[in-house]
Amino acid sequence: MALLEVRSLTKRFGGLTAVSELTFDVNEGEILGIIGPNGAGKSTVFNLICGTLKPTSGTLTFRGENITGLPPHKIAARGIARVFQGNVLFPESTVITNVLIGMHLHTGLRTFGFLFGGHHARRREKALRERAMEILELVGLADQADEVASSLPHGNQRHICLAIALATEPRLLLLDEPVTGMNAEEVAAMLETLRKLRREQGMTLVVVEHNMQAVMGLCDRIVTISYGKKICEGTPEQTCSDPAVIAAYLGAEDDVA
Amino acid sequence: MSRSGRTWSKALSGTVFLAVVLALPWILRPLKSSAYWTHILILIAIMILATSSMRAIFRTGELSLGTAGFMLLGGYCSALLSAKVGISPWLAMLLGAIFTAAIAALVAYPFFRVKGVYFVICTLLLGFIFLYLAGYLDKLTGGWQGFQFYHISPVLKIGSLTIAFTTKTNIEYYYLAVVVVGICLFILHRMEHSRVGLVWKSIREADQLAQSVGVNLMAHKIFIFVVACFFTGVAGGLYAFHVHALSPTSTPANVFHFFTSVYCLLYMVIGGVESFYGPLIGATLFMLLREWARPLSEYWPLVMGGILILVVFFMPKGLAAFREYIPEWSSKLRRLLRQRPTGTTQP
Amino acid sequence: MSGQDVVQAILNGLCMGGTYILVGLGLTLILGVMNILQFAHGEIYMLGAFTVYFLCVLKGLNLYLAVFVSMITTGVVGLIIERVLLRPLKGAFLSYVCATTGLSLILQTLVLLAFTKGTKQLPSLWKGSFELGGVYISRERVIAITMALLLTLALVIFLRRTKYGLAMTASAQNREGALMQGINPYVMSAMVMAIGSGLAAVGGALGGSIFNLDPYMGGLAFMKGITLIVIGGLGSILGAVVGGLILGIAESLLALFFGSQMGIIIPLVLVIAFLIFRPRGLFGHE
Repeated sequence: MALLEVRSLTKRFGGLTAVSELTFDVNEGEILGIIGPNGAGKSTVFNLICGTLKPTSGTLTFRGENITGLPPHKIAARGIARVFQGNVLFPESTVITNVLIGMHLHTGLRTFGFLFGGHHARRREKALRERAMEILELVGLADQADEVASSLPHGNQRHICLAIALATEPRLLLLDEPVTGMNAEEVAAMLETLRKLRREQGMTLVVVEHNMQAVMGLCDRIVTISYGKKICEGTPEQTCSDPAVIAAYLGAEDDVA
Repeated sequence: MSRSGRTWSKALSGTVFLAVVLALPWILRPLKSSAYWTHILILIAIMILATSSMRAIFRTGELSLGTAGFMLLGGYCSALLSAKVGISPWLAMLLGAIFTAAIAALVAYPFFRVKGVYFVICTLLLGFIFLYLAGYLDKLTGGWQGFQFYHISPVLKIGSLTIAFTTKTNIEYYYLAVVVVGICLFILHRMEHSRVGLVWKSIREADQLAQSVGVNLMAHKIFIFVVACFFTGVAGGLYAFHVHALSPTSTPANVFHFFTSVYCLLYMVIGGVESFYGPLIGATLFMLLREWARPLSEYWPLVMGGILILVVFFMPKGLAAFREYIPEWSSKLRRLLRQRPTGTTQP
Repeated sequence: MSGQDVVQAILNGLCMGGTYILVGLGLTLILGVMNILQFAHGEIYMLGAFTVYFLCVLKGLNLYLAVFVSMITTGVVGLIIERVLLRPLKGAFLSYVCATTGLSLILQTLVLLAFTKGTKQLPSLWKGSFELGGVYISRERVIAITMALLLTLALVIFLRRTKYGLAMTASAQNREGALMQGINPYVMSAMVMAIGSGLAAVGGALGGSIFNLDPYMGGLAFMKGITLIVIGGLGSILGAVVGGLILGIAESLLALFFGSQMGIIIPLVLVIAFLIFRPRGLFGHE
């Protein structure tokens, strides 16, 4: 049984079909890439998996449980985290506060109830802070913990976004264009961090990217989408030589690394 | 200043403030019109509570202009329970606030599904609806004339000591208001500086991201909305048992008219939205200013409107963040002074 | 209560709807183009009415001419507001809510102080009334609805047939798309504030002619404007017209059967219901 099973996923917006009959698996411990020309529907797929959008039809099964149509916060609770496109973080909070917010699911807060302080709460907060620092160490931002998030350069901000997603202790991590806008060094660093996550923590990753070199070097398997439909699924080598993929990208010079 | 140094200075200023607040009525006693000024202080305390409630909701990024309407609910419910059913004013105030919170719970879910400025409109219109209903249901509420209940006041019996919170000197009621408002503000303060306050911050700064880390947006917004409306109902109840006469006539002078909601918005923004003490600063400053400007009372909304606009332009963080503006203004001033009298700029 | 009373109420309501339409048109246009709700719009309506009072009653100008001049001057006031107050705020939510609410307080007080106390009324647009089979309809109400519909027609022609009008329609439907077409958003905002305020001024003059003038009449007008644009559909001209007529008739009938308060309460409940269950109203898009 795959970690995430996507079956016949379809999303229609009025007359426009953004995603059509999409079917693929995400296996535990693998790094799956989703590529496709602009407007192919890749971000929509993420929105559907994360619950931001409800599918018109089709099912999503995560760890054997049907998660189709669940709201985003419930999907997060089941272990799917997302790093959004661009740098979506909590701009006015410090770096460590960003991560602490990300740990929401592990604060024992539930939906209601708040802590009036007291010894028990202080101990819990201390443990959370330590864990937050661990995560910041992992992404290399431990020494900037008390900086205001929006004051950091863009490359570092991307790492904050990754740290926030990791704070939820996910089983599946979705990354929407994680290396877009980065220079070669930063790309290499991010890719190494992602590989480390899989290697050391057994995390499963799904990556949407335009940077072909990054995708080919990082992913075990690739799903190619064009106009909302899957046109290829296979290893990077298979994908590169697939005629349908080549046809879809023909002329899209900006996507070639 | 070191961490413990800051904590000590905070504790000290807090104690001084508390001492001043508690001593105020006695400071005012020698004045001829001390009862009147104490009455003003009571109103200030009530409005601080109402404004802080509005701010608590705004901490999640939503603006509610229904303050006047919820005060009406709390005030009328408490007064009616006490005057017509004979419930003790203490219980009546509590039940009135619970009733207000219940109504808030009813409308919260549908309202929060409405986006942005339309949520503001919904709360505004709700306030109007309550106002007109109070006038329409005249058999219950006394209609547009309102109703009076001068003979009822909260009475506290401790052993053989009886304290009646009447309006003769207002001193007892002042302490009642201070204690009640103090407790409510304490609760709001603790919430804001706990985990749940962090959740509100996350909703305000990036709500989609907050959702993706497991925050149930709707549940948290509804929670603080209901709690804040509870406190607004308390404010209404405090008001009712202070003035002993309620009416829904829609003149600007009536506290249940939507002007009050706008004034609360003003106190909140001018005091400073980011700071917990913003409403305190804004409400106190402006309500006192208004008293001193009594001869100009006709111009008062003009002054308020003007100041609101000026603050929005020049001090968007409000008075509480006053210290932050000084470097900004002084650098602007320095740049201005560097220009030669003929108008050319120094290179 | 007879059938005649009902017909009378419907006709009266229809005509009052005309004044509401003029308020709603401005509100919905400004909302569509600038994406803000202009909280002082009711005060613009009131300002228009008092300008006519000033010109006509105090300075002796012909009523219709006064209405025309008021439309122009109030339109200019709208321009000034856009340039001085709204443009620098760049649409930041709390800022513009505070600024427009502050402005409404200022305008109310200024008018209150500029004119002496006591009820005022504008002279009748056309004295007397028509009779249709036992039902009387005052001539000035007919004028009100006629002017409202004529101005709406003029607006529609402007929006569909002129370069700037088409640009405005584009801006209202898709701001970014319009930007990319090279449409200057500042020009659009200025124009829409001018037009919206001018229309509201005429609405004020018509309303002030039928009822009394008072500096607080703006608040109620704003509420009515909100009501009709929510029911009719945000950003829709047709919606504003239909919404205004429905509101006028509904108010009138509700007042007839249940008393004037219900005439006010029920529409407000309807607005909330629409916002929750059918946010695009009757004719809105999206």
